[in-house]
Amino acid sequence: MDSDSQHIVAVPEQIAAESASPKSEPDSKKRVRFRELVIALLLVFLWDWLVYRGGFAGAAAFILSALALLTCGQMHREKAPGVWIVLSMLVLLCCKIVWLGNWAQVTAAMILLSAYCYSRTGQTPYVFEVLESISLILHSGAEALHVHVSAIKNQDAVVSRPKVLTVLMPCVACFVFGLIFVLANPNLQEFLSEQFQSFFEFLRILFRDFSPLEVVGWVAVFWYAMATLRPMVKIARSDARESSGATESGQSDLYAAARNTLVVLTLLFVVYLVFEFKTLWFREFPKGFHYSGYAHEGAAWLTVALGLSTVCLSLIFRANMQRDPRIRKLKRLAIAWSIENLILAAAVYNRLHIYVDFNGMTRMRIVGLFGMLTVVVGFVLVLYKIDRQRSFMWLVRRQLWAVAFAVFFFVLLPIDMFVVKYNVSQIMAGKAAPAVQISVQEISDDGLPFLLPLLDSPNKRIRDGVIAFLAKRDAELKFNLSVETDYGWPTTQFARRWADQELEAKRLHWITLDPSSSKVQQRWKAFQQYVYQWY
Amino acid sequence: MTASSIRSQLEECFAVIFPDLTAEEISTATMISVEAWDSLGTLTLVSVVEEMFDFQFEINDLPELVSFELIAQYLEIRHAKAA
Repeated sequence: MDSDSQHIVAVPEQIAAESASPKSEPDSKKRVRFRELVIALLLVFLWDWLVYRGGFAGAAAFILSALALLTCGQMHREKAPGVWIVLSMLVLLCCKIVWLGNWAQVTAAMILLSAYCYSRTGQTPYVFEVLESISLILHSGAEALHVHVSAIKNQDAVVSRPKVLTVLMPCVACFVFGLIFVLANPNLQEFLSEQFQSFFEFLRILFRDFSPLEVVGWVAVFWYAMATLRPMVKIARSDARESSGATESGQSDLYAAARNTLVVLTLLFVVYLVFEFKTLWFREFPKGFHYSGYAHEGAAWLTVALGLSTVCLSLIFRANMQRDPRIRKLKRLAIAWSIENLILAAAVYNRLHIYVDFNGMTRMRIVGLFGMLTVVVGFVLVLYKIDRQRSFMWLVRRQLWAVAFAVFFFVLLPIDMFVVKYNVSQIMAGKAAPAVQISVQEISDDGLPFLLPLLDSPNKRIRDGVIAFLAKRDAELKFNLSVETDYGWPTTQFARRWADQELEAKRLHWITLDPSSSKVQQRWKAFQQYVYQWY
Repeated sequence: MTASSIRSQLEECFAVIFPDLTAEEISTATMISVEAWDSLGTLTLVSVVEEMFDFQFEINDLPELVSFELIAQYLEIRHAKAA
């Protein structure tokens, strides 16, 4: 592993082992690499231009630029197995941010960027270890700056004359010949003059709109860049199999307790699942049915139960239990209980379906679906862990990956497009209840075009309400598009342009309406009052 | 006012709003076939037609006015009712 620009903080056992043969700290670690300083300053400039004074498209461009620059700046050539997966996730997320961005996506992308840089040190990007490396940024940045400052003070950073000329000579030559070519062409002179004017105008605006918060951002980005170029990496603890250290089998004291617990839980689940099927499957629900109690809160509690089942199984099948010769009987009980847990998971999905069927889909119900899926994956991982005798550390790392992937797909996928499309299809099929979600839930710009079919709804109150809603949202959309025109491409959001084009086909329904007029306000209020019955 | 005079006056309105269209293109013009014809173009067209024919469109009818033929039929029906 190249130690030029990374610190390896070894685990205590390794320090003890290495103390017998101490190694001298390589001089290359103390050397200043001007490339790193240039990259850090470039990132500060890009952040200011693309993020602070830009928008979400600028943020995506900044993240991709940081990816390229940090890759060039780091000396590491090792790649952990997951590096291509992390890279793909990061690129996909940046595409989504350019489509329609929010700060949750940008935060997730920055964490993925850190995970990518971490994986380039040769370490597998486990969630906990990546977060730990992020928490070390302050320390890493301070260490990196200390190295640079010390080297400069000790004049280790003196750059030799040949090295300076390596860069300076081609720059001067390019400038001189370039100037001659420009002087020979008046149109080129005009072009350059316009570019210089634009640049000075940019500087003028930069200093006019300058704020102290910007300096905080500069320092933070510079620090992050220095910390990432010279990261402190803890060698990840091994998650070898639990049985690797065990050579003798022996009866566990807790076998009887574990067996009895599994028997009781299996019986309890049988009773409960029969109750669940009788009360909530294959029936029509009467008016006044407490949907939120059963489907909303109830589903959450059952998800907690599933999570607890995962913990129970992990605790029961620990290392000493795995060595018990009676483990096979215990595993058979665990399989029976696991099947019941999977049926319970189906029951949770059924409850969510009941709620969605009642009054439509929402972002939070999608969160519920993702959450349930994550819990099921976690449960399956426990079963795999028991079967293959993996360690507890192995299980925790994989479960954290499951959570991380769930969060990633939630921020990546166009959730609102799906939610609105589903609700509108239900309304057009004759179920008016999902209309309440148009009234109470936020709809992002890329969800707006999916409301257009409601303009042909046979329900006049819904038609008028949607027209009033689109009149207001269209005005906001037009305003945001004009901001993009004024502030340039870093503020671009392609979803808005697409929504504008799609809405154009039906814009005549509301173009003559003033969104702030009492007529529009009344239509919207009437719609809200009408749909509230399904809230 | 006959149907042909209604259509010829409507063609004049279109020629004012969409000067690049030929007479033949005007008679088959739709919001989809004419690139310059968007929702704002419809509003402008509507105001010119209202001035030419001295009447006002119903706001709720605007979404239906998406082609020369539909506007012409609308005007013929309105004229017939008024008569």
